[in-house]
Amino acid sequence: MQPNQPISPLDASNSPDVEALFESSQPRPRMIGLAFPVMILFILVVPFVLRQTREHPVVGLLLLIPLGGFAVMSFMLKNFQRSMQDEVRNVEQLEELIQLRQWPAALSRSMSLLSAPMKSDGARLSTLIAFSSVLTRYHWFESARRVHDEILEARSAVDPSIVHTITVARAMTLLREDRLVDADSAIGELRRDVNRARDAARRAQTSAGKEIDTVAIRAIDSAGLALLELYRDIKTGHFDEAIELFESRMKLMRDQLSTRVADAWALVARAYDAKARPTEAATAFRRATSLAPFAELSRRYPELVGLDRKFDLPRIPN
Amino acid sequence: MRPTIEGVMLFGSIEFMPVEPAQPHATTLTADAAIGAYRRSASLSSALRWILNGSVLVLFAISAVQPIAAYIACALIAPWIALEFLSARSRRLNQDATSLMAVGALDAAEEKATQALRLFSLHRVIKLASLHQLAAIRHAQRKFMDSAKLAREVLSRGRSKDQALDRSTRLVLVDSLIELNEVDSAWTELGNLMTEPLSLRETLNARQLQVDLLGRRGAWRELVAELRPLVDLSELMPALASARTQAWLALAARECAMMDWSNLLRERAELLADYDQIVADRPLLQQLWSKPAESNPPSLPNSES
Repeated sequence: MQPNQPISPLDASNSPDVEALFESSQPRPRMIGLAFPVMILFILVVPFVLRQTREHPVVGLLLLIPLGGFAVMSFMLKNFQRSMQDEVRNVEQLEELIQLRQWPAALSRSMSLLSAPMKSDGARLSTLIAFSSVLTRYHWFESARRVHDEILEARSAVDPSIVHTITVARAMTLLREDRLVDADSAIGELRRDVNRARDAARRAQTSAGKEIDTVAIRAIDSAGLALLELYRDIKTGHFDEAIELFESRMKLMRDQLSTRVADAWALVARAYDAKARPTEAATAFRRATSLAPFAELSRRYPELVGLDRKFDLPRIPN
Repeated sequence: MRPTIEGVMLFGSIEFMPVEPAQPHATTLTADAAIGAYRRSASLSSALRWILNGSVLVLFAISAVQPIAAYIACALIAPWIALEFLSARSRRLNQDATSLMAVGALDAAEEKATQALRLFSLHRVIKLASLHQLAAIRHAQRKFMDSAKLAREVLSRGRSKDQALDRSTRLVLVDSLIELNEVDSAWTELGNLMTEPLSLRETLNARQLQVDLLGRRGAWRELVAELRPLVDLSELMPALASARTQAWLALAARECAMMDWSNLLRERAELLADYDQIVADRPLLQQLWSKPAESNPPSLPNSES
């Protein structure tokens, strides 16, 4: 129930230069990786120098070199560990800013993090994921997709559920820009993801000698994909299909999307309204707007604009 | 990588869970056996660290008069490095367990955490992390006696270098104690936790537990005093946690004659989870739906007149 954050005017020319940020954020080869072998080399030099000191005491002064090098390397290691921890903390704070919908601060923080070489690929990936959600929030969809593509290029290093989430987010930006053919293709890919997971579950049950539990298999599904399909149906005017999809996968979306299930309620309100079912539309609209502010919902889905003039918003008590 | 947080950022709390094929795994480690394994390992690693450090220092000191001592000291570094590699492997297994837990593959996560616990490590904090993983896994498996016992063992070792681990373990302990109906102990542990600086995620977990505890105690005025900020926080929680929190707040509002808030929050809770899920193990919450003036326990929302 937070008030909407003011945002900068929608202007593609204001969008950040993501290509430059990709370049600047690449982790550099770490000299710190040489620390251990160099330290070991220094340690090996010490006995040799000590041996020579018995005959030439002045040589003992050379001990200062390996000992000094040892100290420098230890300091560098410590410093590197501290900077890694700082980076992790900064990325966590960025994620918190997004959760708290502090968008201007999140934009500033993500660009600041990506403007300099990052210490680890993992932190860079997390920052890019956060950055993509900020770009989407500001309606810089092309830039957001470019970031999604950059993340998906490293998909072998990314958790499969993250790959799926990014693909859903990417497809959503395609729908927002009315690129329906591309969006359909992405939806097909996501549907194949779900089918692969179901097949894997079936094989697992078979190999364990169990009877196939079809109910459990069918329960393997993606709320993100359901929401995507719902939005696609709204955009293409297939309101009957949208209503049917909503009613059949409402529980899935509620369980997986938490408060964001408001999106589904808002979209189905649009479908009910289009099908001249005002009572259901009013109920769905009330439910959507009791979970999320209408301004936020209409920002995400322009197709909802005008519904607030037809139906009552829930009264938020003082 | 933390799938849930990224899902939250992009699209609510998406938790699409790829299925883990069934794999054979070691016999389940009991809590007592895990604690025993940890204590033995911790003692051994502590002793080894002292011996290695002490030997190297003494040998380098002796090498001033007996140079061969320096060579022996260097030779000791090789086993030290080997043990560090083992420790690193243990750390990786813990990270794997975390990732597997995040996608709901509890059996596989338990396998990894058990391997990490059994593998030798020079560093106590890695062993504590393995013990914490097991506590979290037992908690997810709803074996709350075990999770509480394991969490207590982690915390009894004194403040570790990894304070995030301490806080995370304390959250597991508090929730386990709540589930075991040890409300007073849970309250004490939660009080200890709330004095520390918490991240947003930890704050959400802690506040959810705090609301649960206050609700079980019937502390309605205390809940209502922070109604708005708690409602705002509940919007960031996963579905069931958000539903329960808002249900408690709805009940508190009703008990304090704030019917507008009560009705709004009850409806929001119903939109986020089933009645049966919300009231499971929390019979007090049934009161929210029990008054004749309110609706019957809701079924899944559908089109209605």
